Amino acid sequence: MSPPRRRDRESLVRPYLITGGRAHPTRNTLDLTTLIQATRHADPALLSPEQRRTLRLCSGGSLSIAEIAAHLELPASVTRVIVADLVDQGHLATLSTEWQQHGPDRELLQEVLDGLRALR
Amino acid sequence: MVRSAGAAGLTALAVAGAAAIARQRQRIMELVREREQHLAELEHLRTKRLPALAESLNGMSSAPVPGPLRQEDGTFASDSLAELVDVIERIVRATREHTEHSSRRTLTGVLDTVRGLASEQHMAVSDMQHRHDDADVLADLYTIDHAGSQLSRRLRGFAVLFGAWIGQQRSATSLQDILRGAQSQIRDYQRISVSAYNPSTQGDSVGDLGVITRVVEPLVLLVAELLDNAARYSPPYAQVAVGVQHAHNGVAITIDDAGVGMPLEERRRAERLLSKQEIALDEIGDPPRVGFAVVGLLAVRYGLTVSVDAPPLYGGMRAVVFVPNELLTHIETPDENEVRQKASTESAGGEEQSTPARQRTSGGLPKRSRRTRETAAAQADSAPPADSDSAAGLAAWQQASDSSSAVSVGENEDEDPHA
Repeated sequence: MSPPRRRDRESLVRPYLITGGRAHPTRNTLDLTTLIQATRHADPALLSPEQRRTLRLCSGGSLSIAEIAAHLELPASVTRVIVADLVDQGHLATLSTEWQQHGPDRELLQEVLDGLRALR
Repeated sequence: MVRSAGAAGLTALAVAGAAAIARQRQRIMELVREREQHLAELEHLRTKRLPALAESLNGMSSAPVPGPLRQEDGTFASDSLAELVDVIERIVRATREHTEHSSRRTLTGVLDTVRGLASEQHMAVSDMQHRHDDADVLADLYTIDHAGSQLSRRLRGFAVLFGAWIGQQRSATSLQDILRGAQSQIRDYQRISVSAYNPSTQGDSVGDLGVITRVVEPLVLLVAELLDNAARYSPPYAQVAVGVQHAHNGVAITIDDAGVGMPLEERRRAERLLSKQEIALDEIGDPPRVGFAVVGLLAVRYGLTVSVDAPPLYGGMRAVVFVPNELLTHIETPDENEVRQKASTESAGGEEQSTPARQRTSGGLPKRSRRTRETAAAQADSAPPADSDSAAGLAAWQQASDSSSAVSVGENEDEDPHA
């Protein structure tokens, strides 16, 4: 992994194209730390490449919006629009709703703690 | 006797003199006729041949330049003028070429200055989109970004016409991203629907196909010009459908609009421009209409084939871009990439050239690795994973949280071999 450096090129597929010109996500409940996980399989032919990659990212476990954005190399704002659409279509779910129903998951908290320790 | 002999002599003299006079008179007549023919020839040169030659050299007329005058007996009065005409033609051609060449040089210089500034502005807008999180601000940034993308496309088109470098080398890119990149660069991008994802179980699906580095930017520009044209010649709410089909020895990109079709005169102009090897500056027109000229030049330069026609089955136009196999490459899907990563201890971040050349698909295309971020994506199966990628992900998280940071997520080295 190279050290972070200033973007020195213009990406080919522009953010406005990826979101279809929409800057506002369909729900404003998604912040950078919101955890997202895949809920059901989708027909890849009906999805955009970014939607496909987002589903693939979230299929192995839950990820935060910030992490999805980093992996997609897209602005967090664009990632929010993509994720909100997938949540609307029922392919993704936010974990916070699970929390409200069942309380925090011990395993998940442990994973977050491990991650935070690894940062030091 | 003597007298008669003298008389005979005189007679002979007189006869000889008369004959000489007659010969001289005939010679004079011939010279007069020749002079008249020469004058007529010069007049013909002045009033017919040179103006026609000038028109032909300036591209104003494609009619043949008339030759010298033919006499009643089928001969030409003079061929000496032919050489003069050749000299004049050579001088005019040389002058035109010199003017064309120096104009192109000047225009390329001007263009480079403008391109540099436009690119700087476009990148600033890109960075702002990474830094700002307010949706209203982003909506405005999208507008500026869209205008910047169109500007950049126009400038690249002019570069192609001036014979300058098209700009920006990109790594091998999937056909789908090429089509969407082209879509990004036109005004009515929302009217374009791209369907380039055709998963297939046999070898190369169109979804895995991409084009080699050298052709990425030219193909994006070529497709963008065709999309722009399709959107312009169809009703403002009609969709323009873009697809990819396998063809013999390559793939065909199809662009269909549901318009009324182009007027015949426009079609003829388009066909003429599509078949040209070179386009002079004075053919660009005012206001400049460069779409088909750019498409034609790019196709010739990069070995692509373009046809535009109006299929009788439905209204509108169909443009087809044929990309031959030698310009195609297999873009590895993240899943394949992951398998390969697990199979070897090769660290992520190698340049695309590091993929062994012997790796080939069933279709015989060389395999190339997509950007390693795909690998990261494929490996990210838990939050947060405990490998080197997690550090990157979490660093990005920190960065994304820190809205004052001017630095976005670092890109992989193989993103740009020319950086």
